[in-house]
Amino acid sequence: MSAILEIKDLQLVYGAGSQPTLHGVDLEIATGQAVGVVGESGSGKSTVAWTVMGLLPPGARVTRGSVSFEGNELLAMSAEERRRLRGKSIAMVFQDPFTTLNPCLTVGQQLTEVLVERGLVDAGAARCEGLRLMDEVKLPRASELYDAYPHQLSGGMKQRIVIASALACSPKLLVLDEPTTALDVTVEAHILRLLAELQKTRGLSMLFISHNLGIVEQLCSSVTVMQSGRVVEAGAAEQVLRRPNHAYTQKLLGSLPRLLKPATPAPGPANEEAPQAEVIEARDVSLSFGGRPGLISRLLGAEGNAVQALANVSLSLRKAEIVGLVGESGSGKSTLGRCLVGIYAPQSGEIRLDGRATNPRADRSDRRIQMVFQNPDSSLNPRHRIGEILGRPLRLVGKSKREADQRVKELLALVRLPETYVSRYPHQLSGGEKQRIGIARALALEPEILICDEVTSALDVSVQASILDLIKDLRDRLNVAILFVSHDLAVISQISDRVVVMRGGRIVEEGSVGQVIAAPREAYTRELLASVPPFISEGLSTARAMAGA
Amino acid sequence: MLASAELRARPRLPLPLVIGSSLLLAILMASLAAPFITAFDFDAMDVTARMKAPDAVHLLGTDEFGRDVLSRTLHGASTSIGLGVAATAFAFAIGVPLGLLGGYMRGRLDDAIMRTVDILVSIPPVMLGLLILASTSPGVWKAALAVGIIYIPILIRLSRSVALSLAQEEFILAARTRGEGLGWILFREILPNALPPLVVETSLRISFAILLGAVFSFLGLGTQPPSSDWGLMIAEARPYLEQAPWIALAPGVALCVTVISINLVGEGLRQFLDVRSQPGA
Amino acid sequence: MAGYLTRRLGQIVFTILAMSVVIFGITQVLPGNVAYVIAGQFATPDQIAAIETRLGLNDPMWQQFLRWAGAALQGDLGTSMVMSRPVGPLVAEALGRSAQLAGVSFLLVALIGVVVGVVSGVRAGGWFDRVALVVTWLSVAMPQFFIAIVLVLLFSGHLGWLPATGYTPISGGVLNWLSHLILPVATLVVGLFAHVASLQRASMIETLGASYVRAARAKGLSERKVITRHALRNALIPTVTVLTLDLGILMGGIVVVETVFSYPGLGRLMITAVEQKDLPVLQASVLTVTVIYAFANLIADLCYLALDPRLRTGHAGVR
Repeated sequence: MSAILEIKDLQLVYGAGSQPTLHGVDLEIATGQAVGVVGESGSGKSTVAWTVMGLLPPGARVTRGSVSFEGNELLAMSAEERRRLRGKSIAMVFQDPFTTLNPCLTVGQQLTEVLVERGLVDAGAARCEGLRLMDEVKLPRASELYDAYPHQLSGGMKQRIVIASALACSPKLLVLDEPTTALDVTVEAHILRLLAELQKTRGLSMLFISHNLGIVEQLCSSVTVMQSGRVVEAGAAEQVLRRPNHAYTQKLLGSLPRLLKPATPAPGPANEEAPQAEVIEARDVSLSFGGRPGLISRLLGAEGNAVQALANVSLSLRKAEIVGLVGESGSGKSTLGRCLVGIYAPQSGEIRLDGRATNPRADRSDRRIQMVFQNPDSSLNPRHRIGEILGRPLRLVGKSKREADQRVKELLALVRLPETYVSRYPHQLSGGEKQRIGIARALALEPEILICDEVTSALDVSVQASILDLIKDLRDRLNVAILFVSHDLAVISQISDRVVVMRGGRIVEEGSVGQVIAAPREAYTRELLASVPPFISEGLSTARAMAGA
Repeated sequence: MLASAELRARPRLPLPLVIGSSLLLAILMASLAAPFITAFDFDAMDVTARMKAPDAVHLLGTDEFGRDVLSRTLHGASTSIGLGVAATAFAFAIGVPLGLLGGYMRGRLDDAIMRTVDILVSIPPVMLGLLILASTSPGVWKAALAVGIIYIPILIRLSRSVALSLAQEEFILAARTRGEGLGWILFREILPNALPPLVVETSLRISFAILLGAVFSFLGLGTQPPSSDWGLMIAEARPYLEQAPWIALAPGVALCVTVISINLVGEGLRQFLDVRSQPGA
Repeated sequence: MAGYLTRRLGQIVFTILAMSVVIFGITQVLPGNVAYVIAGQFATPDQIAAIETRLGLNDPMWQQFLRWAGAALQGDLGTSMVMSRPVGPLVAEALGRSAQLAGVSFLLVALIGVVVGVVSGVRAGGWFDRVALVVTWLSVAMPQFFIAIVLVLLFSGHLGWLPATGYTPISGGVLNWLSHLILPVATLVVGLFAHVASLQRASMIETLGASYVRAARAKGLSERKVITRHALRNALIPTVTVLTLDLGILMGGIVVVETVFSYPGLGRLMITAVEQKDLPVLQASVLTVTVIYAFANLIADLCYLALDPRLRTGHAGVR
């Protein structure tokens, strides 16, 4: 087998005088082979993809090494020569299908424009060829979609179009930069299946960039692990993922949440003891957004466009219990969390705290229930110091400056951060540290209930693992009830005592972790479980057998 | 993280900011120190020295009444710049709170504010000023007020759009869930984050306000004689354009230099604040 | 889409109605009652009272408004109090002359602004961009009346090529007509194109950095295709907003330019009306400008519809 792509000792610098982004990267792809490049943010994996494409941002400069494609040195080629290779020999699929398609051109135009420009088909035959490509990526109702604009398509459909347009000129090498990261898990599974199939039928070689170790195994026979611009380990997927040699790979794999990892201790204390009293309960909560437009707008012809976000949802949490709330985008899981904490007011139904109904107004605040937010970059006010951020809730309930300062120190210790952080600004902290501050702020007033809304989804896996540890530890020490909202079933299975599955504003299924994961009752839960990459759900079959399903 | 810490320690001022603010400072100082720079009062007439070309005595010549053009130009600086600053400050004080409130609260209040804004902007800016100034006797403070009213909708729209996007930020949700009052959220959570774009916009607005104020004075609706500003000076110089072009050129060039220096400050602030606001860059 | 259009037309009617109330209201607080202006300096109180009664100036304000608005709807904009001529033809005549000035200027502003902006955006940092940047900065900093004066000094006073003031209808010879138009148009264009150019440049740079442009390059499209097909059209969408804003500024600029060049258009008419406290003329001129501006905004919205398919087609149907 000859190599289609060979990268040797690639060193690259962004801007003069700065540290190299890549320090001597080596990578080889044999013809017809799919190679995965895995790493956390800042590892330089996307830079490798851009170098291969010849689309590095201005200011980036290769200082050493070679990149050869079918034996020809890419770095020595003129811009025009490289352009001719693009699309025809090397094509690319991007991370975010929502911004990759031009909003002003129809799907068909974007699919076939390269073919027409290169004279591969004439304008008349373009439509026919476009429809054939859409058929190949398994888009239904192709003739209807061909004349649609991108905004009329769902995310999964858009990504199929992006893949089809990458395949238009029959390239030999496909570069995929996190092609499923922006998609829901069930859609991700479908796209991965499609890619695997295309690789087989077309004999494509692939360079697959991903942060997700779990999905790499599904597609790639060989894996390269990168950290801070260096290759730390490379080899057959089987060997790298099962018998990693390098400490960093071992750490990554250790942090990777698995469905019911055998080492996980039995479910938490709540299941063993007698059922405790419910600390919070949502009864038949419904909420819709949009609603009726104002009088004048209606007179002028505006129409209502209400969206039902929650439909008769009931949910309860007991003391010291972690409930995992799982669902895809648009399932209403975050809305439910915000209803519980009081940001939104339910339009019908009620929220009961300690057995008593709460004020049904929006912006009700109650120190007994607090929230940790998804994005640590946006949840801390960039203009406030950490001391102010943590001290403010205390000052708001009338604590003196001295009391507040003392409590801030305790809180920092509680989330394992040094006291000196009080005088820092959020941008001086890493993502994981910021999320710890978010947790500390929520704990400041010793709440009974904590709502964690996708708190780890913006973090790298190794950081995610330490935050999950912290949350479990806090539950054990503070006996706080936690609603853990996430799209990631593996994470949910790691941390929860009980699991609730939501879809389209309704609760589909709920039960103990063991029951929902090992013996799901509903078809949708089974679909979600089937979307989890096999590498993540290993060991589940044994669990299923044990559950005697 | 390290890079940004260094950046904080030694903030590099952008070149436009340095040039612009030194120019502006020089103009303001010259205006204040006018009595020490020229030997003539700005309104001292001298019938023996009418429309004299620039020479060693009158550095920029004299006008049709024999008044020294340099001292009049320096005198006009304070009126023109003062008008621009006052008009912008007025628009800022009214527009920003309304915009933040509308953008954060949404709903009916926001609708009411924005419909009013829509109506205000549906009249071209100078026309609106004409209407306002036509309804009273002209005067420099009324011109400032008119310019301010014209800019209120612009500042409302800008601060509203900033507040609208900030209202979705999770730190605002966090403030709401802990029960913060409206005042704290608007002025302690939103405003500090909205300031960079507002500061940049405001500095640019000052230069537009100076220009628009000069237009009103030029049309005879602003500053009234015997007081003077650059717009009025140019209007008064028009009949003598051919014989004595320096009377019009001096205030005109002064106006351009002032506006350019303020624009440079605005551009410099834009660069400076952008660098600072990039987290961990 | 039909619903959208009726909604927009409704908004326009509402805006014009609200504006006419504002215009009428503001002109009502004018001090120096027009009766004094008409009667002259030495009028007796009796004479003034007679004029006030004749013009209905003593009726309640809402009656005056209804009378004015009702008549305006029937095309009767009243009689100029100072010139004793019907306002309608007076305004129409002036509007025609201003429209020539504004129309030519606006087309040139749009054309030059977009071309300069696109070229400097595509070649950002190149020599053209640098030159354009300096010109833009100077143009933004100069008030239009000063540009006008410099142009007059140069081309009329110094070189003697063009007349400094006045207007000749096109029937008086195309060259003659043109010679009176060049300096006012040049003033407006120099003062305004910079705004369009700098914003067009910024939106071009932004679009060229968008993901879909990168994706178009990754497909191997030629750079020319990437720019014309993928970047330009998206970059033009914000330009529509800028152009409508500039049309408003242009209308203000006309007041200044017509004053400087003694061009007998709507702007000069308004300034004269303000000076002479001639209410009906002022009301009618501002109302005319507002109506034109409102419809210009409608045209801008139609341009959005043409440029941006997201506005044209809903999300319904395909899912």
